[in-house]
Amino acid sequence: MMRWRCRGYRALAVDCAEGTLRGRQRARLERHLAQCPACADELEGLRHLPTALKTAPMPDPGEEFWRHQRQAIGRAIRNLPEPGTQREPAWQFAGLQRSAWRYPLAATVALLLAVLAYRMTERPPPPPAAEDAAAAVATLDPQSLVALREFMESLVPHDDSLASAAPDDETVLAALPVEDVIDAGVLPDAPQARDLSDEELDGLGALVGGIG
Amino acid sequence: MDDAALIRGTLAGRREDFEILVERYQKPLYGFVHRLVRDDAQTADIVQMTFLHAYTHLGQFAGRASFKTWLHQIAQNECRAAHRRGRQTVSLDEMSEASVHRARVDAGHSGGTDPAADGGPGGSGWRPVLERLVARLPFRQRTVVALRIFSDLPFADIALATGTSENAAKVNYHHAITRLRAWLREADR
Repeated sequence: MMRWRCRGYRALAVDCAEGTLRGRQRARLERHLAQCPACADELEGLRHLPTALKTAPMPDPGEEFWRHQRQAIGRAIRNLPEPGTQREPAWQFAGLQRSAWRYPLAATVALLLAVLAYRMTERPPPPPAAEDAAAAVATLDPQSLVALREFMESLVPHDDSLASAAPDDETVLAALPVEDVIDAGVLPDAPQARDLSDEELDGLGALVGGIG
Repeated sequence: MDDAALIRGTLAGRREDFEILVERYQKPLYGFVHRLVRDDAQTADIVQMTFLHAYTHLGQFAGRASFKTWLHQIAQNECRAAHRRGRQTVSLDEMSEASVHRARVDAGHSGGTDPAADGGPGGSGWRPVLERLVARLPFRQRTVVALRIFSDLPFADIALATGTSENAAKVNYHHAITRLRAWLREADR
């Protein structure tokens, strides 16, 4: 069963068993051990068991094996590129291999990339709606309104300019009565005098007051 | 010549300097790996791979820990990969009661017997039994025990090699030793 109140003493017990615990920490552990037989028992184990394990002999496959393995490693490294010629990743050059800044930096770069991507796909803002313009005008003081009005009027052409404007032929013709168009001889279907018979010319002369 | 000089020499293109490092750490590394995988052929392969990885990545060795610690870190990663491929456990049933009893006595469970006096040279094989109990530990605890007891690394270096805090390494070690004692008691019933 987990002894929750003993959890904080485990690392101290290891230090104590190795003889590296001093001062207040040692006194703190000793106070705990005086009232906790389980921890005291564990401390005994930490003192004796590693000592027993340390006396275990190292596995030794023999001198022949060691020599053979050294030769094999030596042959292998002669077939490998020199370690100094290998290019290290940029983040290692920057000393970021175990840096505490590694993850925050990566997160910041990711955020910046996300913002950049958003800005690149962002549409231009829509033109202001008419009501927005009206609302903007409503905020102007009288003097500004007068100035604005003058400016707007300056954009409207005067009558002179209207007269000098040369509307295109089709517009003018569309505005004329059909007879005028016929007189102008520009209506393709308008019969020409030379195409009329004598009777028709007489009838037409009577109609307009005599042309013959 | 110290490790740093040999590393500089290797990086400068003198492969023979790296061979000196191999000779220096070959045996302790073998002992460490063997305690984790408990297989002669696999141990030999892992040790060889560890040195080749160390050679090819020597330019990345930053010197925050010792070269020995760095080698153990690489070896531990190789062992973990091997461990994932095939878990190995040892049953208490595989061990004779007498052997377990000797191990228990050595661990100070019977009247505070001096371990050295009971299990000296020529003893009845309690050490292999105890080592096989170590092999039953969860991989992380086994690694910490092997690094501390067999490879004699300080807890600060164990923390670097295993990627944990120093305090976590000590707590793992505490759990491992407590568990070993519990198994010894269980086997003695």
